Amino acid sequence: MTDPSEKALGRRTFLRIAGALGVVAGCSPKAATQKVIPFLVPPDDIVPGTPLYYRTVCRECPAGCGVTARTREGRAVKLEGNPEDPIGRGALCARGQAGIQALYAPDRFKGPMRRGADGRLAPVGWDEAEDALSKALVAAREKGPGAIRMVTRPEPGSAGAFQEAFMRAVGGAAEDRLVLDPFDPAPLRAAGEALFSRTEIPVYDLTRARSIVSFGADFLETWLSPVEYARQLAEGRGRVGEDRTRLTWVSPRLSLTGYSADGWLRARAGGELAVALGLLRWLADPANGVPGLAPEARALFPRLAALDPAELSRRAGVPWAGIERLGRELALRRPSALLGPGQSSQGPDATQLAAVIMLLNVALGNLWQTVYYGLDPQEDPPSPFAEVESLVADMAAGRVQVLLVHHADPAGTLPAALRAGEALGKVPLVVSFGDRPDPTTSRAHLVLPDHHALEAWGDVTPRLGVVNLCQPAMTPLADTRAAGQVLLEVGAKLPFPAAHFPWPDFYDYTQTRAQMYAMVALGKFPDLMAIQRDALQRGGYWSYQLPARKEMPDLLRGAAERFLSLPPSPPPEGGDLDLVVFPTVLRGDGRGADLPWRREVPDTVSSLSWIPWAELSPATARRLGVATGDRVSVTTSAGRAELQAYVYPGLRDDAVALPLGGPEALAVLPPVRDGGSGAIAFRSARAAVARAGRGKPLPILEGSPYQHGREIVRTVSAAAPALRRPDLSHLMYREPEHPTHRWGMAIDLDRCTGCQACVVACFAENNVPVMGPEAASQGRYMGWIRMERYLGDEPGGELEVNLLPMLCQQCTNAPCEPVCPVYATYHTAEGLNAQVYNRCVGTRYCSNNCPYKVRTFNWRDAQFPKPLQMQLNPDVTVRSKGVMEKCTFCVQRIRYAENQARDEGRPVRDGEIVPACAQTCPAQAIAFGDLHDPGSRVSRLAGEKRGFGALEELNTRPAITYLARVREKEEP
Amino acid sequence: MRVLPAAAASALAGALALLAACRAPPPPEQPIRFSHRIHAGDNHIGCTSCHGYAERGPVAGIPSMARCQGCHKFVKEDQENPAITAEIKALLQKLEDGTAVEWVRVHRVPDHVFFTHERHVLGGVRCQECHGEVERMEVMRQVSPLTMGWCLECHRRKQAEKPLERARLTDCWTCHK
Repeated sequence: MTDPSEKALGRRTFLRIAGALGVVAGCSPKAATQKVIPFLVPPDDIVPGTPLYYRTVCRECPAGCGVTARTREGRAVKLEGNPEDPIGRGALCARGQAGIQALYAPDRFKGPMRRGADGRLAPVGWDEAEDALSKALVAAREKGPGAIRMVTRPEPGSAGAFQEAFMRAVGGAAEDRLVLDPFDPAPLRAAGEALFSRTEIPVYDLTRARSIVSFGADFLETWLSPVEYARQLAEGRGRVGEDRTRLTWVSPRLSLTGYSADGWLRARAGGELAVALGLLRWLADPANGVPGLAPEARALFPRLAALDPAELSRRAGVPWAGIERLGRELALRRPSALLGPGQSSQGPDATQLAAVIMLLNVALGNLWQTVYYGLDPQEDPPSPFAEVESLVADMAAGRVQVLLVHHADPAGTLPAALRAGEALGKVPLVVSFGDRPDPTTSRAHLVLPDHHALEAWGDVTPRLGVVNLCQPAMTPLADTRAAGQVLLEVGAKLPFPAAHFPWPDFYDYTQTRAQMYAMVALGKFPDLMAIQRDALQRGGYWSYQLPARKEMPDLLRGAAERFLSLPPSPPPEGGDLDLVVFPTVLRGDGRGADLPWRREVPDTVSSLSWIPWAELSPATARRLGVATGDRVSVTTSAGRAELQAYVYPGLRDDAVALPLGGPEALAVLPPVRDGGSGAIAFRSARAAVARAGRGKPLPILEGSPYQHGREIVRTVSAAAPALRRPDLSHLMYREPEHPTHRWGMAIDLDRCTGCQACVVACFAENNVPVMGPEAASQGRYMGWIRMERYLGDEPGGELEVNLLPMLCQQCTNAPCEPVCPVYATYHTAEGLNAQVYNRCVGTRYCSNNCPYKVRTFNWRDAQFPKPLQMQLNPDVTVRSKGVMEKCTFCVQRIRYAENQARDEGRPVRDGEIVPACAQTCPAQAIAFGDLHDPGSRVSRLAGEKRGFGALEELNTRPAITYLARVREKEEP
Repeated sequence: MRVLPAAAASALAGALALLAACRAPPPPEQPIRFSHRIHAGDNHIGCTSCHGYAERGPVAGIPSMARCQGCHKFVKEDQENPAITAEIKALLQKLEDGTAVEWVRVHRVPDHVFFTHERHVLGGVRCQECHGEVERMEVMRQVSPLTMGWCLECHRRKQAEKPLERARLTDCWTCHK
């Protein structure tokens, strides 16, 4: 007699058998076989498993920073700045770092496509596509002038020159080729034209400026050359006292650039001009006795005296005392640099603002000290915006038969009120050379995908005396062709003799250009091959130097007067708030803003990722009954956008702010132009904001933006240059010893601008997974570095923004280590808190015990949709679900440098090991090295009086020393 | 008697597992029956003559087809052994077609192991210590288990020789990162 329960297979028994069977299955000799396929002929340069570097150039914005692309086994895995390049000097911004994702984007076009009768793009052969284009060009040419048009991004080099030649060959006029840069600083050019008869973008040398005033120009984010200017600002930072560069931010909104400022003049939107005029009036006023003022500026006073300080102050929205105080500072601290306008201050009077700012520079003698003319290469400058408008009008009227689009996105980067997308629909043949879908390419009839910059030949001249060369770092991934090559081939099919170019392919064309550059550089006909090879290895031809004073232009007689009156204030219509739109470093003008890293990495100011947002000041939000996360509608005369609100004390009460780089801000921009240059007036509208309901949980990183008395980030001043630090001499436990090295880091918060370049570089170097908006709203962002931003001590208190790049502190007494039950996190002999992924079982005790919350847990398997997985760094493990991970101080780079040193039979040199974050930092705020070596840079910095450890009262003894931000109280 | 079926099942599974584990995996079948015995043994060709990256990088490297051709431009047959001639002919055909031999991988460590040939070879570890007496193998097969315990067994032994200098030999982050 047996109990029926005994026969039944119990749960435990089942598990026991299943487990045993699993073991048997695991032992099966039929393991998956892997093929090893050898090279036919091994490339000379490639040693498998070791990196190979190529110098090329970043094409993400017109700044044109040089790039060193690291390749592994023939594929690019990481971009770094080219240290020899005079623009970027080895650094890249966050957007540049993310550029490599466009190369491996899963939605990249795999080959030429043609839109069929069903409205879908279908693959087509290159020959057929080029035939179709050449036939359309022949037909269009017969329709008369202006039927063939081209829209391109600025291409100051071979690509642009060849496009010009092609357009001439098909019978086009010069203006039929339109150079489109949505962020074109046209007002600067117009002001230079009016004041000095120099239609140029000035170049700034901020290293010599003792004071900088920016009128809404986000020169640490997107303005002109942000990597270069961030480095230049940083050179004047990191010290206490008189010779530290001061920065004043004039804008209705405290932007990321404003975070680096010592003072913020909360001018109302459009009040920047009144501030600038007020400054000029104060400086020129003989009663104030400003010494050494340029005589031209003194001569302007009779006109300036007509301006009433009270009226200026009212229009500016700031007390006159604030303007006076800034005037006094500028009078004393010479030379200085006044910058602007940027997108957020580019209104209908932008040229006047640019001119008054330049007059201030003239008055203070900054020209040829910090502000230079004569360095704009004037190669392929953006077309006047009036030409953009006339192209759109021609397209809408059906006068354009063929439109060639080269890496420009008129439908996705211009204000919607322009109706560029609609006009594109009226063009019978839109040809896009774009490599990925975007609003313009989705309207194209023929897609002829160009190579990515990492697969192509070319050259870029961002500045006079700087030619950065573009060379392929890898063979093209897909069936793409260089746009120049396509034009060359199409030209050969055309019945116009002028279109039969003499070059066999586009590479040869770039070589003839290279010959020209070499001749310019050497002044004689050189051995091109040798010169060119050297230049490619170096990254370019550089003869860059700042011009001498004698080459500087003089102010034209009578040119300044017309800029000295305040334009009538616009009628307050369209809403009760000023609309402020601002660019962000990750989103840029919107092109490529959808790449995973650019969306995953939170914006520093709002700490939001993935979504656009509308900023409202706390008082305004209260008035409208809006809380952070609520949906709000923003309505202007041009349109309406619905976004989630972010309540931000760094904004005036009479404004609402929207980020550029997406359709939302463009939808509400009215069709207003700058009177002087015709450029888009990003700042002109008034907006009505209303609550539109509750929103979804925000993909937001921050818990609280306030320090709540915890003194997490600390500051010093000239009056109190040293920090009081806790006495941690009473040890209870024995501390770990580090017999050889003690790797450490120093982060200078006085240099750090919060630009996030380090964050994106870390994603690229360490295979940090992108988890998406839902994970972000659950607090499951995986970044190893996060930019902590504190707005002050308590809500409603004084606004004092402090940044703290937070990453694993590699503590000496690490709280994470003793709690790991499986010894997956432990202390290495060199002081690193190691995390061993293959040992981790995911208890998350370590993260619970980490006071810095820098450990991230893989709640699900990371996705690297093909071919994005080709970007993965082969030197770093790809973590899987259930595993904890964190910053390793780039241990793979430490090991690589140690290996190199050992090969050469020497110890590792200071500065040889550079983690990805430190490498790319435009401000050079991060130093890494051996704390045991008293001569190392990191040891010197760690010993500075400004040094402190994050939450050091916990006695974790971090290996990271933060150097406190210097904050001087403003002089009254 | 409730434990009986479970115990029996476990015992059976255990026995099967043991059987599977004890049997060394057979050498994989390669598209061309390349013999290390002939190359490295009879003809005394050094390992790094073909696996040229072993002293320079993490990966020893599979010789390129051009490397094969370097010798087999001249060595086109074995007059005494038609079976070998047939294999050489197969290789020559590949060379003529310009296609690569798709070898079946024999040695593999998991992705989270960052092994480097360079440090081992330059450190004086003989190839045979891990790969076995390759010069006697007709067909290449895995001799060592390449498990972490097996690696550490050697690492510990070497560390014991110079404990201070070689402290890192047992550090997790030496091989995992």
